[in-house]
Amino acid sequence: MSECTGYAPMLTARPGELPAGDAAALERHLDACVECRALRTAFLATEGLLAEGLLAKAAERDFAPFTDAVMARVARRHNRRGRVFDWVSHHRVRAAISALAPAFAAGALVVYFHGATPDAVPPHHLFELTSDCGVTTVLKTDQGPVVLMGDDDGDDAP
Amino acid sequence: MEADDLSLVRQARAGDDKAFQALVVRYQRKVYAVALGIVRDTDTAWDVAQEAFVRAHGHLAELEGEEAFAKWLFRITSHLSIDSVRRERRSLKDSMEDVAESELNAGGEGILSTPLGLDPADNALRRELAGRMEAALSRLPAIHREILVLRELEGLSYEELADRLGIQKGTVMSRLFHARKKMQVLLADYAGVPAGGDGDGDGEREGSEP
Amino acid sequence: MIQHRTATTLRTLLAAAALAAAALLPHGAAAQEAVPARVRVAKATRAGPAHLDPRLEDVKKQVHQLAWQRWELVSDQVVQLLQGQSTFVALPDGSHAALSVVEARGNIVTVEVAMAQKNTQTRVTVEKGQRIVHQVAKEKGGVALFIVVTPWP
Repeated sequence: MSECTGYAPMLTARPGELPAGDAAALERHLDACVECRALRTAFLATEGLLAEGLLAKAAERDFAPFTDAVMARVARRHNRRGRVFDWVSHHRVRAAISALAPAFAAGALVVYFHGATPDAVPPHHLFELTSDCGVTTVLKTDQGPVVLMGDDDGDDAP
Repeated sequence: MEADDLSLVRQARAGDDKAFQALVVRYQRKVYAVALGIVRDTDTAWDVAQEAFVRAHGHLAELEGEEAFAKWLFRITSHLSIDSVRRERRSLKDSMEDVAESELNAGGEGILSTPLGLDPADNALRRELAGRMEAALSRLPAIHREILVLRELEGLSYEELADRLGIQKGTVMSRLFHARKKMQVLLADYAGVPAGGDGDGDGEREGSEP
Repeated sequence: MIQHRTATTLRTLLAAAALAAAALLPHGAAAQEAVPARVRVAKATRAGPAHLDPRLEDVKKQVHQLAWQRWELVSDQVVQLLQGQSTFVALPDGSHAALSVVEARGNIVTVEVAMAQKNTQTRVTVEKGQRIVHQVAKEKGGVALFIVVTPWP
């Protein structure tokens, strides 16, 4: 049993993480030691479960507002608004010229409404995917897209 | 269709906020999960996760060409998380890096002595255990939480853990052992889980170790 | 006089910028808009005789080319998809799909379908009359799960 204290820290090793000599010695010990073998089996049985539990916890959270919140923080960090105020107050001539901005803004409104009608947007022009699921297949049809998840084993074929 | 991280990083460096937002969407949940595992408080984890992306945005230029964005981002996340924990409480000294005989005996038998496998019938059991492990995390000391989360969520190797935490590889191995053993003890509360799973959830032990 | 003109100019500039921003930013127009959507969860099986649940008849053209032969409806509901807030749909395997609107303009909507446990987020744009058919669980034992999202049903 006293040998076990030396081998115990190795029980969490993944394949290839131990030097060959240590790995072989560990296997020999496990062949002979029921307790250590049971412990390693228990460790293996729960491998990955903690990640699943934490990701499940993350899944309970609504991440729809997360990106906007991050970008808002980025903007505050860069202090853009403060720079605009500083610029205007210290550059009176340029500020006077910028009185033309309302005219430009009105022009932009006209351009926007005339140039970007809903019909001008192709139905499938936007597709973004981020996934840990491996290769993903997207089939485009007139009825709408069909998104298929990848499989690590590669034995799924649409 | 699906831009890889490298091209999104390049676009983001050039000032393309939409590219950076795509990276946020890609990694937000996992970043949050890493933070949650270490800090345990959901609001703090939310805040740390956002801050990790803000830091990443501000230091994109420092990302070395060959280094993966994800790995770098998770490193930022874990550092922020660990800092957050240490601000909240004094760091615990782990004076028991060596494994004592008592550690091996504590917790009784390996309750989960049979791998759960991928039998769809065990899905419910697997989810239950995953939930219990997540809950049990709160009862671990911070240094054990940190190393377990980094190992399990990020999949870091012994060497990578040693580098990330600034400790020796031997310390990584024994600290991981302590963490997983403590987790097994906590899971032992879930008594009566038989080898091979208990489909009807009545806690009855069925079968025996293989 | 110059200072007064500057103050006036500043107010005009900011008012025009605010007006332009409100018009130009799509989020500004769609922020409060809810897009009704019919959300169906379907179980697809490879084995057995070909069968399509009658309540999935409208997706026949989208799924007939796939390898799964039997399509059974698991759940069917109409929800309001919101921008900036997810609507969670329960899946038979115990996980959830999170649906939200990224952008809605006229009869075109960009929907995000997220499965957190699989760390997958998909954003896809469709127009009224189209449906999103999205696999939400990997195939196990010849059975896969799909979600069908039909905006403005």
